[in-house]
Amino acid sequence: MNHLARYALAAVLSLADAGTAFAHATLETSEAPIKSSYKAVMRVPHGCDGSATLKVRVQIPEGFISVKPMPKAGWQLETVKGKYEKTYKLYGSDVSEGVKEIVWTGKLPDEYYDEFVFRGYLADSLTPGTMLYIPTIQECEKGADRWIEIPAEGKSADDYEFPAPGLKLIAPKTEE
Amino acid sequence: MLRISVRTAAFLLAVWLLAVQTPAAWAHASLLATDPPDGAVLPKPPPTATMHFNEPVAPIFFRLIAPDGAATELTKIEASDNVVRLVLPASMATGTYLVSWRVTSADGHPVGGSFVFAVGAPSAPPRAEQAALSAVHCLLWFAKLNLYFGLFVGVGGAFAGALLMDRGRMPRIVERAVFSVIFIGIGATAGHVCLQGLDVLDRPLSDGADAEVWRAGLSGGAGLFALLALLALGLALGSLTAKQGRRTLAATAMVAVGGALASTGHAASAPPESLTRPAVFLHAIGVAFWIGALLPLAELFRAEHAARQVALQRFSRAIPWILILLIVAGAVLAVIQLRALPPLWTTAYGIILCCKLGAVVALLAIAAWNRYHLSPLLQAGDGAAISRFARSVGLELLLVGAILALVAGWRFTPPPRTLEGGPQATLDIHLHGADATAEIEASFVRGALTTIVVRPKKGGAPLDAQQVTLLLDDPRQGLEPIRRIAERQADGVWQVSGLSLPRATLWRVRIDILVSDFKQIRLEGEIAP
Repeated sequence: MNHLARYALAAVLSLADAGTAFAHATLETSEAPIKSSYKAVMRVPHGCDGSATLKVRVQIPEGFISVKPMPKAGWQLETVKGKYEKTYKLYGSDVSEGVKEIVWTGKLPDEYYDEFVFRGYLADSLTPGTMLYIPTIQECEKGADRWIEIPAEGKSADDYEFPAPGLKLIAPKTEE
Repeated sequence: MLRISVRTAAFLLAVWLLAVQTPAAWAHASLLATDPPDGAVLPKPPPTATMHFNEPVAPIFFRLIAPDGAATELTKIEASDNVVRLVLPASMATGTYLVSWRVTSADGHPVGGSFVFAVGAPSAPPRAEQAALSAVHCLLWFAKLNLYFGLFVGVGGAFAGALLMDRGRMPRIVERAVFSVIFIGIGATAGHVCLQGLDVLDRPLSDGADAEVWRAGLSGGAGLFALLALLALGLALGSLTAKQGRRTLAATAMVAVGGALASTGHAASAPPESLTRPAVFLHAIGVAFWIGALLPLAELFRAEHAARQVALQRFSRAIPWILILLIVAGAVLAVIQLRALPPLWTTAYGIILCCKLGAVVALLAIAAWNRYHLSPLLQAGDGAAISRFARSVGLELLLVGAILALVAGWRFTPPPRTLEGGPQATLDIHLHGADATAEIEASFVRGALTTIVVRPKKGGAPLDAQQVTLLLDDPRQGLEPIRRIAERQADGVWQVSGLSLPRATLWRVRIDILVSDFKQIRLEGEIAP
């Protein structure tokens, strides 16, 4: 086909692709300063291929410390604790381990939308200007959607089919 | 009467053999790839079509069948090395075309097939005429069998007579039998030339009288084979009737037998020819000596001929060396043709070899029983032993017939060494990533990508994964990529099968290796056409 037609087709397809982006698991607040607490709201707008979500698992990345999940009515809540890679100083005390994975088990039909909330502290070892990715897995009645693709250097979440929900880190607020 | 029973048994064996053989298993040169590839859809008519074979071939015919069924003989052909280039007609209408081809491989056996491609848009594929070849093949096999009888039982018998007996005169009945077998062999040689010509040109039996058919039957190694066979049979006749120099004539006839069998066929043309041709030569002469001596010896003992002990002694002295020569030469050829052990039971060629070896072992067993159990009894003059001896010789001749029938069947089966690199091909690709690598093996059957085998590796060792997903994308098409979840075949080996993608396009391949629940490694590469 000629160039015009090809670009038109690509444009149409990219729009179609944008539509599916609304089905991605994403964070409500996609930008946050380091050296402060951050409330992560993981939005789950869709089931997997139309089937209900039965489990949401979130992996806490290094540098996001002292994480506490918010319980959800009708859902079971479990956490997996582990050692951090280094010891952080939080409000004067040393923190070397904490929650590394959160698991909510329940049922969210595909027609409904829900949010899974957890709160923690973005340590100063993180670099402003970089992206912090929070890999999330949706386990459904039929299969699983793994939002675990970490974009490579120079690429963004739009280039991937199952990008991990990302948080843009910015410079710390001048007043604490 | 003995001869008739052998013939009947051999015929029954033939029927069974033909039932066992697969119809398409007569390809000895193989077509590796074509350009345009089989099944391709091209935007414009191609000026030429190129065919890549696994060995140099001699063209016989190439026919282009247009979408409307019209057949054109392609006459402008360039053949060099393993490649044949066909010049296609200048104007080609839209639709699917079929190229029907036939070539002669290095071993003298014709090979044929067809491939399709479409110009513009595909239409219903034109039907290639499938000539009924089975009648020609049946008769060709039968002619070969009789030819072998003539060479081994006839020429071998004449040689045995000249060697084992003083003054070289065998009992009349044996001489007459050997004469008859030699004449049958001469007739079979002529029939073989005609049938070979019919097979090469892909013509029906009714064209048997055509001069072109006979010329084709004599072309290549087949002509030399026929000449040497006739020479051997003629010299054997001479040694039976001559007054002087019987042994010389018979010995020369045996050399001609070896030469005839070493001049054509799979075994003799298998590389390295410097090893295989002498091996076939020696194997054939050994066989002729052994088989040829059976009838004369049997008759000598049955008739209680005075010279029987001397003959048996001479035979027994020579036979161990002959057998060693035979077995070693045969083993060398089997190894070269098979190249590995599994083809012994997976290919038609290997199965025939197994049956032949079984019959040979049985023959050796009977011969040993004759030698060590029966002959002392015969020497003592035991009457019952004579009839048992006659029966055992009958059985030996039956086995000989079976072996020759099997060997004649090899004409129609491809040796395993030629099966590698058939219309199937595999492509090996290596994908590199920061955390892992993957070895990809893409398999193509008749120009279509059908199976992809993935072996993820980390630092050279297999990488254990929970799941491997394959994504295939054609960048030119701009359509949805093909996503398939691979099946785990074994530790570290994953396979996606059941694909049917044209090879003509460049496929971008992406492998997603799920190492743990939250960790996935992605590798990208290309499968080039």
